[in-house]
Amino acid sequence: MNRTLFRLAMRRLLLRRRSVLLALAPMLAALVAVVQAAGGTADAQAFSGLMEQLFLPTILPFLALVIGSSAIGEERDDGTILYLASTPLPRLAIALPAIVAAAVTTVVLCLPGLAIVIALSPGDDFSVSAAAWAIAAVVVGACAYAAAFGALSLRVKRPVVIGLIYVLFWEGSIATFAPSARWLSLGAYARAVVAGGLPSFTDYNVPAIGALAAAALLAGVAALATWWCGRRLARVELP
Amino acid sequence: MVALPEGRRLTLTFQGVSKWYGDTVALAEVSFELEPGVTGLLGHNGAGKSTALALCAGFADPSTGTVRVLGHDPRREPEVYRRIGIVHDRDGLWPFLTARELVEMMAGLRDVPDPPRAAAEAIAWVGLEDAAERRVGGFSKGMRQRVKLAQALVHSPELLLLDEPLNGLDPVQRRHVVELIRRLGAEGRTVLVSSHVLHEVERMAPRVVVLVNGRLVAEGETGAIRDLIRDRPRTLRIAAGGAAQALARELVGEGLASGVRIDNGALVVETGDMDALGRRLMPLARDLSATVDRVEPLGDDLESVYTYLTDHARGRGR
Repeated sequence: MNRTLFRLAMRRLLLRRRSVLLALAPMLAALVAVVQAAGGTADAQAFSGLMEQLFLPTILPFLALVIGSSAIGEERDDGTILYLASTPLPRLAIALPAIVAAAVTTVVLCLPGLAIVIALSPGDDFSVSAAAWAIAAVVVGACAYAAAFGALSLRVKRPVVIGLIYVLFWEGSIATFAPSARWLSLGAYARAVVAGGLPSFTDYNVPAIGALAAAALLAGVAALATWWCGRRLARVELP
Repeated sequence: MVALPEGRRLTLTFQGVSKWYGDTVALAEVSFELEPGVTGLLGHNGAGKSTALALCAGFADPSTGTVRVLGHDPRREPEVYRRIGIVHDRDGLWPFLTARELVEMMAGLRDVPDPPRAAAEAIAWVGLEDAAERRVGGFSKGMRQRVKLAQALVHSPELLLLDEPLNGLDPVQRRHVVELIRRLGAEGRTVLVSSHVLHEVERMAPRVVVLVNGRLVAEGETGAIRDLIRDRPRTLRIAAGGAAQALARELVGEGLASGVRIDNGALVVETGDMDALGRRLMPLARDLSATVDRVEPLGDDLESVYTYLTDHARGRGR
């Protein structure tokens, strides 16, 4: 991976005022965890509920959508992509650092909130393994979402609107009551990864798939979407 | 690779290129070839200059025709970008980078052996040394334009595609950049520079390609195009007092005007020989005891000039 472009993308995505606002979203989950801890209801079940109902279905995709769709789409809109396109780099080498930076930025912004949630989740059922699977779910989920929304930004004019429709209506609504729809929900696979570390995690929205397989599937989606971004960059007409 | 005639070195070929977006035709059957040296790409706003440059730069595919840059198709062979420098018309730059960081980064991405040194040289060429460590987000339009030029020069390219590079520059900076472009051409590089201002192109390009409404209407030495434009039929409005009608008769009689009409007391004169009219107008008026209060050209804007070139091209059977 081209480290110059990765550093450039990190500076562009992370070092801006918007990042501070985005970092507040995971703190919402932390706030709920604080309230639960103060009320003495913080345990593994509460942790799984927080991950299942707030962190993975709402906070993670929201952050990944905003960051992922601006990873390449913003450069295309402001014309800076033209500088990168006038280099001998293969187009995949331009897309890959942007997508990786978007995923890393999403994870970096999620981690403080996630760390607080984990720290405030005591109980017999809670273990280091549960924390590790939760972090893994956020990491692979961020990769898949960032790459998918990055690809979306190269295909449609309003990727945030389309992405929101996908997250709210498909993942947040249809996939919650239609079992077959879960198989086409990135969030459902991320929840399946969390379930790997929590035997008590009884989310009926999780597809019948093991945690490792779900993680591999999300990584596969990320790789495929990134490859598609490179291919699209080589073919799309730049403004 | 394009077969070259003996002694010619074509660096860019634009062969029967058309480009349309939906129902809008941006370029229609345009063909030209470039050799080392500076060539001006002249045309009014919306004439197709930026589209032509984007096609040369490999940012878009032609709808029909072929574009070859240094013998390659940049859309399919990005390695050729090591040999091409591009200043495009978009204004976006990474605002958090300093001018030095940006130019150095572009040098590195194009595999320049010593990016810091190359960046320092390119920044010096465009006269931006004093602002090199400042972030480009705070730059004026002229400074941004010079950063764009520096990044296009940093890898010492054989071919430069410059879209309106003088935009936003003050007169001193314009002179500096014009001189730089001329020097690049004299060094044997191929420079295609677009502009909608003829006299600007004239100062740096010995050769010009003129586009009007997506069509190539003139191509050749800049001086010849300038003469063609200068010698085109013109229309003047002459506010004359006294024997205005007699003056009109004399202008037609002496063959100085191909047509004259009176409009609100002023003569509207069509002439194919501005120089002769200019020499004879005042003596004739004096002989006829007429007064000439004011002479103003009509339809002398760029659109009219380009329309004339279009008509001229059609007359030649284009």
